[in-house]
Amino acid sequence: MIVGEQKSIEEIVELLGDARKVLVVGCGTCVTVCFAGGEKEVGVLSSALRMKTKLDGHPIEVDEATVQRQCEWEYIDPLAERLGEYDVVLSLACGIGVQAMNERFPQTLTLPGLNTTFLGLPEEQGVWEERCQACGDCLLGVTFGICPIARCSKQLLNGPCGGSQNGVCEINADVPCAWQLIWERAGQMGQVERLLVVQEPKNWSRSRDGGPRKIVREDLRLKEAE
Amino acid sequence: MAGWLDRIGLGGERVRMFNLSSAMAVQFAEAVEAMVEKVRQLGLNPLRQERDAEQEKSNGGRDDRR
Amino acid sequence: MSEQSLEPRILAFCCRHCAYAAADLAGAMRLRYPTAVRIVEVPCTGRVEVLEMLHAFEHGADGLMVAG
Repeated sequence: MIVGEQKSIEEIVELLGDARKVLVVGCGTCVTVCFAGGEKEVGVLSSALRMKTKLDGHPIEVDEATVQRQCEWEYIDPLAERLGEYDVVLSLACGIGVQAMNERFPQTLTLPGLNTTFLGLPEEQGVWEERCQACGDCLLGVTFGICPIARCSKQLLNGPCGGSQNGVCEINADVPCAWQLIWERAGQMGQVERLLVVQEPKNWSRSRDGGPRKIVREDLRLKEAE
Repeated sequence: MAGWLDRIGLGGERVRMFNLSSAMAVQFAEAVEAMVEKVRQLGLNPLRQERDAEQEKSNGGRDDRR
Repeated sequence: MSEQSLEPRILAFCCRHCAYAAADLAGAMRLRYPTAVRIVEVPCTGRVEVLEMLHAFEHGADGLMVAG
């Protein structure tokens, strides 16, 4: 899932600038399950903003809304009629939601309340780790289900490097060596010799390196009425 | 929670958790005393002025408990 | 209207089986404690939400106890 975390309240207050009436909009999907921008988080931040700005002498009126998914037009369209009352919108969705709001409602500026960080999973409650880089050319099939693009600091295709020490990455002691994990899993499955196959250089043009990406599914597109 | 109160500027010491069992009546009273004392030190919540002013108007200054 | 004439308002979330019972016992024992406290019974302190506590301060609470 997309994992993000809230910006500091100081940064948010600075972003809001001279705005006097703000709508905080949350999202019910990824940012809810990483406890960054769901309905509860919208409530807490809105209350905190009201109190802090009042104490600081420039009170802001803060209203709240949460939509099911902020990245889809059908879910954000119902907000349209309310937006005229606000100076600015503060979105607690991921960067995609923030942009969707700005694209759909260009007359109202939507600001980001979160830093969208990575694609990952909750390793344990309260701890999220990066697992995917959306490289567009998944090679989990040859690395026994462990991704070296996301989990190897050097994104090696034929690791490990010489810096792998006791199963830990030389760049960051909190990071397990991805290739150690891959080799161990290969061993568990009795297929270590498959790792001897040299992986060709990756086609990075299918990743973000090739420019912003787009997928078109003609089979899913709505046909215009005849 | 204390973190939020600090960031807002009210002060994290305004919220406190107490562990008590059902027999600890004296400790309950002491906990209340401690809390009231702490609040007197920190001062009243600056945000309550508006609400107090409204109450002055509506009930002529009587305590808001009926 | 001086600030000194205003009583502090302390909200106390007390769990039914522990702190609320203790408060009840304090009453039965005729113990004296400040009138500034307003007791709210909850089934368990786990029920108390951060948002509810923030709203209490937004509406003028001076202090908040969570007892259990």
